[in-house]
Amino acid sequence: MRYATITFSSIRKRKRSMLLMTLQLVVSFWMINHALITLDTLNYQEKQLFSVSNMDEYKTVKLTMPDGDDSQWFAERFQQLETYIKRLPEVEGYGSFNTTSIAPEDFARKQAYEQRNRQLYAGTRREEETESSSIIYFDYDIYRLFTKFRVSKGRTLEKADFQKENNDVIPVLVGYDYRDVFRIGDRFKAEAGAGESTMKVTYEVVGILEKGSRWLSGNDYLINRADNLDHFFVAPFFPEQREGRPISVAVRLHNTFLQLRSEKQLQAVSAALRKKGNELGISPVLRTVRQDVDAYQANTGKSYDYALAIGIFFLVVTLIGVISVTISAIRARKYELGVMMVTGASKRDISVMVIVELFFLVGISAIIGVIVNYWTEVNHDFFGDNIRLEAFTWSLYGKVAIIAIAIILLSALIPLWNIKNLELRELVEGRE
Amino acid sequence: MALIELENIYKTYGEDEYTTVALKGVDLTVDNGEFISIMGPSGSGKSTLLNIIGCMDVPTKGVYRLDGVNVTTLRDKELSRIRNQKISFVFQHFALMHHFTVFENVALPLWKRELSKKEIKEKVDHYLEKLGIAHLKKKNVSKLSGGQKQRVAIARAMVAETDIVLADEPTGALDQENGARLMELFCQMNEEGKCIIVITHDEKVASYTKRIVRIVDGQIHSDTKGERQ
Ligand SMILES: Nc1ncnc2c1ncn2[C@@H]1O[C@H](COP(=O)(O)OP(=O)(O)O)[C@@H](O)[C@H]1O
Ligand SMILES: [Mg+2]
Repeated sequence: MRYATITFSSIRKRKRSMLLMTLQLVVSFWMINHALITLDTLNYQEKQLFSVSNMDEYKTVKLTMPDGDDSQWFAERFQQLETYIKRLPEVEGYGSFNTTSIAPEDFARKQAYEQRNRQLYAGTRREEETESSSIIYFDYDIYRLFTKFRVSKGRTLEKADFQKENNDVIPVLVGYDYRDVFRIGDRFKAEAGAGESTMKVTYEVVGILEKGSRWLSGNDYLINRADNLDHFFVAPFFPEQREGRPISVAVRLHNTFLQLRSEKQLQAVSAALRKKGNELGISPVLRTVRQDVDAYQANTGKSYDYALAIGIFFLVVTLIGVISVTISAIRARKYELGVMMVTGASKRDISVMVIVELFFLVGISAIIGVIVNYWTEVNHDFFGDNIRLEAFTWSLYGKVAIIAIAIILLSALIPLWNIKNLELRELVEGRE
Repeated sequence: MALIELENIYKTYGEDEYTTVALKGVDLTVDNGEFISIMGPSGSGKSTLLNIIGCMDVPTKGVYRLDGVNVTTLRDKELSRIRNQKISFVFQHFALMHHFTVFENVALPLWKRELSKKEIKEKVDHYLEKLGIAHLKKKNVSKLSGGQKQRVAIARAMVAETDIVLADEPTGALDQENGARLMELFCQMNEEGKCIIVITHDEKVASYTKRIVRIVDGQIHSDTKGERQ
């Protein structure tokens, strides 16, 4: 359509109002996109949880201690509670996992290791930390009952690995991205523990994880995006981490689960723990994974309604804005349109021009809006675990495009009707 | 076959008691290559007649055949094609696109043609050259003088290369010198074979033409042919 040339000329001549309009549209699309993502991601966590782990929505129970602290007093009592839980016949398994970092030393291919990390961390927040990797420590029951990842080489961790009495050599699995850096049987040293309990521990690589292995985020097992273990290490908690010093207890408490033999036993186990807690003077709380998911979704549901309301509000405001700008643009340009029609433009040509202009305006704004939203989400991605980023897919862009087209059609309606009723002789007569 | 054939044309504006009958049974035949002036008092219906001839307006009653085609029954799409390919307009107030450049204004009729950007540029440049305004090409038309503006309008009419050129009081906003220059241009275009119809109040302007049609109160009062005086 040749008149597009004139359209763009004309847009350029109305730069300021076009910019304002675009700004308003960008904000609207940002809000709309935000609402769409919230809607999209509502079920992501639940799906992820069951695809990454073998947790059961009713049998797997998360243990939290709202009044827990890092005092010696609490640590002693918590350890007694743990011993009690492990002996309960209704409990099939109990334990926790902890995601932290490890800096291996004293091994042959340290340079290759750092070289690999430079590639892996390029452009991420870990860019400077090429000497370390993430590591997840597991209790045996968590590893045995809930993990799904397997090794591509070597062996998996075994019961005995989790029950060592001393830390002479800790077996470790390394992620697939390190398959060329470590061989089975390689040993390295690393500092482990925290604060004054820091010590040097020797690790031995016993297996290489399969490519694409995943495990739940250590920051929040439910809400955050699961970790890809390709550049992670996996090891059992070693004796010091299993024992009762406050620092170890605090670490363990973060992600502590128990697995019931049957979902019907939740009541009984809850009651027993409450009773035991009372005796000890601490207050354990049990919630099934299902309860956690439901609570989360109810919460996000609210923020979804909110986001949607804002999105719709902006949409309506924008729509009114776009319509009035388009109408006034046509009124202001009546003379211009008349001149074009005298030289041969049909009403259809003029309508196409208006639509092209709207497409341009709304299309650009939609694209910028989505980009701005993506940018804000990336900036919320502190640990690479913002699950909302996974919503940026073609299906999302499709929805945004449909909304954009709806805006274009709606805002073109009145202007097109105006054009249809233009009287050419009145447009150029006696005007200047 | 005549180029323009008007048969018993009526044009009524408004409704009920507010109606104005601007044309009351006009018959007019114009052949290829004629150079006509339409004269008459203000409000006599000259512009209305020219708008109908230029397919900018449709008669209330009567038949208008252009090149043998009855255009009174055509739709906007076909009428716009005719305006683009057969007719060029020149107005008293130039009818230029205010914020556009000279080039953009002159190129206007060509966007609808099957021409490449290069061909458009060549054509526009040719006529700008011919009218001595090539140096204004990139200038915004609102910055031009009246005489320059009218020459841009003429360039636009020329670039379209249509058989018919219609002008509604084209010298009305020009001084004597520019008015005379404009009429010389029309004569030149007429000699190249174009049919030109000019509305004017000015006997001097009319004297350039070969046929004078006088309208009074929506009817043709006289129609005199003769060689250019
Ligand atoms: N759009 C219109 N609506 C109503 N009356 C009109 C319109 N255009 C022209 N007229 C009337 O039609 C008559 C002829 O007008 P016009 O053709 O412009 O005359 P001229 O060009 O000879 O001055 C005048 O009485 C004028 O008031
Ligand atoms: Mg008039």
